[in-house]
Amino acid sequence: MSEPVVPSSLDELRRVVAEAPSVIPVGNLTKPLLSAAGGATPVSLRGLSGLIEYEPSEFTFTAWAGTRVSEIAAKLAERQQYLPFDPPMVDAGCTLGGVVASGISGPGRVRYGGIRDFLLGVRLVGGGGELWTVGGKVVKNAAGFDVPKLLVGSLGRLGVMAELTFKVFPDPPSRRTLRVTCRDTDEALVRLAEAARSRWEIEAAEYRPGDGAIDLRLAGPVPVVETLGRCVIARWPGDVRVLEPAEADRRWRADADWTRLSAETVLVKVPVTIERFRSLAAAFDDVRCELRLGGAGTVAWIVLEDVGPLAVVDRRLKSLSLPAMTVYGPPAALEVTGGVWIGRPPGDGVLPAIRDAIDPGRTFPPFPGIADPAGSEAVDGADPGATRKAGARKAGATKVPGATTHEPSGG
Amino acid sequence: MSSADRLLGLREIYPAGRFCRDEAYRAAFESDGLTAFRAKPLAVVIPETADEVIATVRWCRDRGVPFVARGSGTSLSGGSLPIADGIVITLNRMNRILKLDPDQRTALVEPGVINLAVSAAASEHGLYYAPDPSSQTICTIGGNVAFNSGGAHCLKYGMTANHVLGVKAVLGSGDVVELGGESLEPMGPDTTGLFCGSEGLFGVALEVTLRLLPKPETFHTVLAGYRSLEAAGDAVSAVVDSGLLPGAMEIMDALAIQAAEAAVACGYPEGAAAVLIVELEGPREKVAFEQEQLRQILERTEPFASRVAADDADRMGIWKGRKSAFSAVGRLSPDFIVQDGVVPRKRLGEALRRIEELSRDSGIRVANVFHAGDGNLHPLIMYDGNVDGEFERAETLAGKILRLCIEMGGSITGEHGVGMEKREYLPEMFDVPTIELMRRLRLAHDPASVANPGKMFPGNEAPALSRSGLHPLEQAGVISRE
Repeated sequence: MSEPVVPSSLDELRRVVAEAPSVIPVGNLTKPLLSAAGGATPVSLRGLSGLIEYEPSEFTFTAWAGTRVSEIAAKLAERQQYLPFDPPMVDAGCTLGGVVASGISGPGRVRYGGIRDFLLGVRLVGGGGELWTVGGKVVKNAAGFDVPKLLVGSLGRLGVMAELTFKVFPDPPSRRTLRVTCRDTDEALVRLAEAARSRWEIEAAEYRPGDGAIDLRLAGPVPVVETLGRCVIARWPGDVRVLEPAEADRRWRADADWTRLSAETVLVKVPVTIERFRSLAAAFDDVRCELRLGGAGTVAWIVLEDVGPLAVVDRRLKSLSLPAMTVYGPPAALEVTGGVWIGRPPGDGVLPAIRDAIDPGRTFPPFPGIADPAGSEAVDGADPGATRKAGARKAGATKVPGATTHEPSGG
Repeated sequence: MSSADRLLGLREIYPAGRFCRDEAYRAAFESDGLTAFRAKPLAVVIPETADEVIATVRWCRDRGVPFVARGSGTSLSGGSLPIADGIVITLNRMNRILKLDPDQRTALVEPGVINLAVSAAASEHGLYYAPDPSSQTICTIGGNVAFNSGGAHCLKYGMTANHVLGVKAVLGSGDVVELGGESLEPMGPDTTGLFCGSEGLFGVALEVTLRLLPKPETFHTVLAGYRSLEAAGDAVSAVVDSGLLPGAMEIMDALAIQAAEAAVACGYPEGAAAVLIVELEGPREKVAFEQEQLRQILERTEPFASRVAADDADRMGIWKGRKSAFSAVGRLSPDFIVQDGVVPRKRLGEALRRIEELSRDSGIRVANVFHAGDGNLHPLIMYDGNVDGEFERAETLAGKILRLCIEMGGSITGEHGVGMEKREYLPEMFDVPTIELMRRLRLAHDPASVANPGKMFPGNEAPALSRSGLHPLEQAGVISRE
């Protein structure tokens, strides 16, 4: 990847995007595979960083997309609030925009939902330098199409998020992690499902076949998590161990920090159900890898020691008709599979049309593995709403208003 | 061409009795929850299978005939109002729960399934479907998805979109697509999330995968009476500042209380200028801990009366007053408009004061019921349609309230959608380029603009800045109202 261009204001960002023939937005590059996009000019949001508004009483904040999540988390913590979907790579310096574009939530998604459930509004820069304000700044809003949700998992292929508004929640005063030993995968999956629909209000529930255990995380006032913890212990007597706070903290932090993996390790995310995880586990029995099941049975992680088995993984996922994404690993991973989306491509046939609607000039790279129709150029009038045509690319990019409401604080 | 000729090919999709052209049927479907508007469809079809819906949509696409898909017709924004001389696809017979997976905590349902039926089916597994619009005993999942419906629990649990994991749909283009899936952690852009709240402008949902949650083990419901609306609003702020996250916080003002009392004798504190309902929910240990916190917080807000629901029946009694408020206002006024703008929570008091002033100035009474936890107002604007000029005054007042919400940094709609009712206000909330982007997204799904045209977006003409006189569509003879 060439050196990123680093705009220091919204106007400059719009100008850069409008003028460059091909753009891929990047944050702090903590998940570099997701923004690897051939010849596109990387445009870094590093210069658009900082909290713009934080209203603890509204449970909302607005920040520049290049703001590090760790900075936000610290500000929220001062008011005992947090982002409940606890994304990975916070310690490594991931940014708000990168988190949204990656669409990867953390273990906490179980209780209140993932990124999509907390993103309220976005100021988005289009391929022609357009500035769109989608969604809103209040916790409840049903006006217009919910474009912010579309940007979750969009990998920077639809536009450049400049500013984001999130909903936040009060942070539970304490947490407790319980490790439930299970004899085999069947028992683990049964217990995982039971815990997830129990009265305990589990915050996180993950299964690691390697540990032979499921980890359940409770959150709430100290006496409450203590009592509920005892209920879990009583449910499976002899099989439950309470992790010491430091041990629990290490366990969840280690999972969220992929920089601790060896330089060769490849991490693949697979949306699943508990039932599909069973098939996955059976199909990968002879593949050199570690499987994990997160999100209370909704997302599988395949951990490979190196890219060696990746081609087999891709083929097996295809045969199981499972979509997947290589979220982390050495650049060689992309050479094996041709892009980060492996297995069955996301099957919602509407994506090419959506891309043409938002980015008719094709400023942003195509979605990995979803090729543009053969021989096609930027949309040529096929979409009656498209403002730009092939040959006139970037023609609409000249209008960049002078003033912005907020100037970024970072640089 | 006669209307019979125009329907050639559509009639053949349906057996007798499920393709309706007679006057009575067309009249029955000419309106929805926004009764001020009426429009007569060309025909009403009653599919029982996805294939019939797909064939109907493709027929409409091929001939450029507009359609609106609808469930129980409870839209308060006129979202399911027919398009004159278009087709109404009524989905109530597609009401099967296709799969309920307790381990995965998901339900796969057809669009005509009633909202509450999902929770009823999930109940034996200790699960429920969280979004609870007030009309949940009759409204359908398809309509909930189209309008991203809300309810009393949105602060904590979000809206419909937050509980929809996947959608199989036939788009206006005639394509059948499967968006999302069964996982909480999908891959690729969240096209499911985009489909939710698209107000029927993208296409028709055929199957919806819903997320189910564990039923809260126990509830703690408090009803507190205040001498002023502001005091009730301050109490909400105090609860929020404390770090508690109640499942619901609702406020009703004196006029709404009076209506509810007359309708269902809910036994709210006499003489209250406002009542506040706060509900905690969760494991019994947690609720026991938090209820003491809540007691102390509310005590400091000095309500003149307060009580805790003693049991489930008592709790339902407290909620009955709240949930019946809309229909109860019918006792105070022959007609009313419901608005659902949103303001930042901290500005609720100010918003209510200004609504009161607007009401006084216009001589139009306004009762207020609102989801205080998320700043979602529900002013019930009362008028008598038989009195010359009252409807227009009520509409003008409604418009002023919407502008107030925008000015305060909120939204023109928290949960009812834009529909027909608020389409002229969309350009006041979003700028021209953003609306243009939304139009392009619509065309990506429905290039021929046959899916529920005329809703959400303002007409091609410059948006009217006031709503006096005839609605533009009335002037064009497209719709009429009574």
